[in-house]
Amino acid sequence: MRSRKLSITMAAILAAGAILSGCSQGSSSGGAEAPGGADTKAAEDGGGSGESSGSGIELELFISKPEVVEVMEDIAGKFCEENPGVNIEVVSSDDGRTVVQTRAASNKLPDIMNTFPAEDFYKNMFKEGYFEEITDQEFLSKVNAETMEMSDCDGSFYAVPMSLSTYGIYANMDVLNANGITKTPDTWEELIADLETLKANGVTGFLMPDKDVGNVAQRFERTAGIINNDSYSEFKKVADGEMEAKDSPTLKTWCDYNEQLLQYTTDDHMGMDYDIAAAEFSNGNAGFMLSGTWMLSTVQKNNPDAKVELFAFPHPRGEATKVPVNIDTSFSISSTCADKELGLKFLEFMTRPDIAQMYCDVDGNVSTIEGVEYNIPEHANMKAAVDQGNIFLTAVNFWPNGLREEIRDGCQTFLSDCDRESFFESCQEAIEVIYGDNQ
Amino acid sequence: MKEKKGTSQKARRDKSKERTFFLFTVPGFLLYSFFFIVPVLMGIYYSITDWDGISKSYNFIGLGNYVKIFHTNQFLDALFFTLKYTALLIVFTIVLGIVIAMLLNRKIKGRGFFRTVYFIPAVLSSLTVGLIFNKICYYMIPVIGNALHIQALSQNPLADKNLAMWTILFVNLWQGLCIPTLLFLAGLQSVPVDLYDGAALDGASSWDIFRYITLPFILPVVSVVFVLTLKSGLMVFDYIKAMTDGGPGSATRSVAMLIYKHGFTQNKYAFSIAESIVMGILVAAISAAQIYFTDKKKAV
Repeated sequence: MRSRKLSITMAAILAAGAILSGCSQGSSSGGAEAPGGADTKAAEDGGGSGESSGSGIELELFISKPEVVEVMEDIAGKFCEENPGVNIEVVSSDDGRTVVQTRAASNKLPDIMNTFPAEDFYKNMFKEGYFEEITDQEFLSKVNAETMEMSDCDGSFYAVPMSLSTYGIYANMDVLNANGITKTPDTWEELIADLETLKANGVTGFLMPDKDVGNVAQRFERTAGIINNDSYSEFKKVADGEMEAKDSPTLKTWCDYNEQLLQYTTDDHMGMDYDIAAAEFSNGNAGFMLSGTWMLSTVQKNNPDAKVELFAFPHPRGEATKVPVNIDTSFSISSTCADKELGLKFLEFMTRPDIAQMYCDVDGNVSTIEGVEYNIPEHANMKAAVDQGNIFLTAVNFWPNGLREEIRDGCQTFLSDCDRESFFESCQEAIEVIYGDNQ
Repeated sequence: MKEKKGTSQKARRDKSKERTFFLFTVPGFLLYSFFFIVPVLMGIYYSITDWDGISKSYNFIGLGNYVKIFHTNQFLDALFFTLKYTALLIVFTIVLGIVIAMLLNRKIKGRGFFRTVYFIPAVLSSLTVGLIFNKICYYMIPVIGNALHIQALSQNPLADKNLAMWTILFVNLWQGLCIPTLLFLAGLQSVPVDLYDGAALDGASSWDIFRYITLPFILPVVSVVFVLTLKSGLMVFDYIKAMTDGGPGSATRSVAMLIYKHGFTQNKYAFSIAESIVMGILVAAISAAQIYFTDKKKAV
């Protein structure tokens, strides 16, 4: 009897062990290796390779933007031609952040990779020494000064910013022209009027890929920023108990404009993800879709003949509107890079005007490299906004880490049922939790 | 004297046997310790810190993470979903698994072909299956629903918070039934045919034959399938990640998804480890109960 009890207890402990290790394997091993591991490797490497670079070296270039993989392969090919004996393997995944975390945990960060230097997550990684500091590198002088300012990390630089993404509304001009609309709207009223015209003609006005919770989160973050450029402070008041979420003008306006747009979207918007929406938009099955400059390459791949334009999201309350920007493609070299000298050489190579031009033409984002011409008529409005300084650094760079991911479930639920009360409740909880965690 | 010598030789032999047995267990014990016990202990260690998964320094905060788990309803909601999903998965897997196995055990034409076909989904990756069904749900289900005038299926079922879980469950069963069915099939083939013949002669009904002959023979297999399905249900992640990402809202958010969200999208690693430990304790309790009852049943 006793032994039976013992065997039951032991079996239960073993079962729990198996489950627990399954749950915590990734993160706990990361904790064990990442802190010490990165240091050790950096020390071994001695902060740079003493050997002459370029003979029989293989570097991994990781890029979290699958839409530019082809052009990066071409660029890597050109670099390898210039540096015989070097091979650069381009690896891609659209879930870059997860890849970076797991690779950092196993102390195997890619040699060269794209980072987002304005975001807190990457800034923390820079400060923790996962990436090489490149503050003194000559090639940084080729980058637009304002962009360099945005990528500053406590007075140091760890990434070379190649482009700025801008966010707005894409208009399919083929669809608009076919319905008698000749130009993109400048105000919210004009946008609604265009949507009414499309609806009257039986055409889908606005595509909303609401099944894609990542896209919902991004739309919320970008447009909340447009509604109030300092949404951080407003949400801080909510977190501090000075205001309730239900009284937040930003959240209320977000609900208002979405309720309006939902009248012009597809019946199955809650079942549509981003890829499907992008394909539908490219193929002329809708008039408008919210997205950023990065979507152009996808549109052109889906339908090379599509005539599209990106314009600023008009402020739903009729106030002056600014365009949200974020530092998009930026390259850093990891502290575990197999050949740091070669890594730096690649970064310098990327800032050459001809190479940066080659990248910019495919990427679609506004280039930050001097000497690069921005020849993308589809994004002329965005270029003008950047040139006029009518922009602001998007909210994700100021919001406490994780707010966007915490609040998105409530946003998605609202888009499904338009229940304001439960939306405000979920926002209240999300804001309190995340601001509390990041105090 | 001779007897004494024989006894000591026997004792020596026994000791040597014990040593051999002990040496055989050492590699297994070391591997298990390294791959399971050590990570668990490390997990417990990190769960009492505020480590964010990136920083090289962290603070000890005692049981703060464990207390915080219950500050909001997120964990309990995810746990409720996971338990409900697991219970349904177990019931459907066992019932459908036995039914399909019994059908495949019949002497029908093309039996080998059907057995192979039913096993095909098992060789596919669960993530791939999830992604394929994700597209099927958007492009095909609404067409079928509209053609058959079934209102509930006239739109992507993954977009409906009442249907999303059932859709994921269906896909999980479509793929996950193969192995249990195979196990049940093997169990059915161990039932002596003369018992069926005898029961038929005695006029036993089909239900009586199943209840008094088939079921007792396949009961050990049912127990194995129960444990396997329990584990896969409680840890469900791939299908949800591929098909709904926990949505709509948080309608299909399992505990594993919640742990992933807190760890990978919010850098609350220590907190997510604490959640996984709480989940582990629950699984241990459920496993202990299951083993206790199976043991009791066997004793009877």
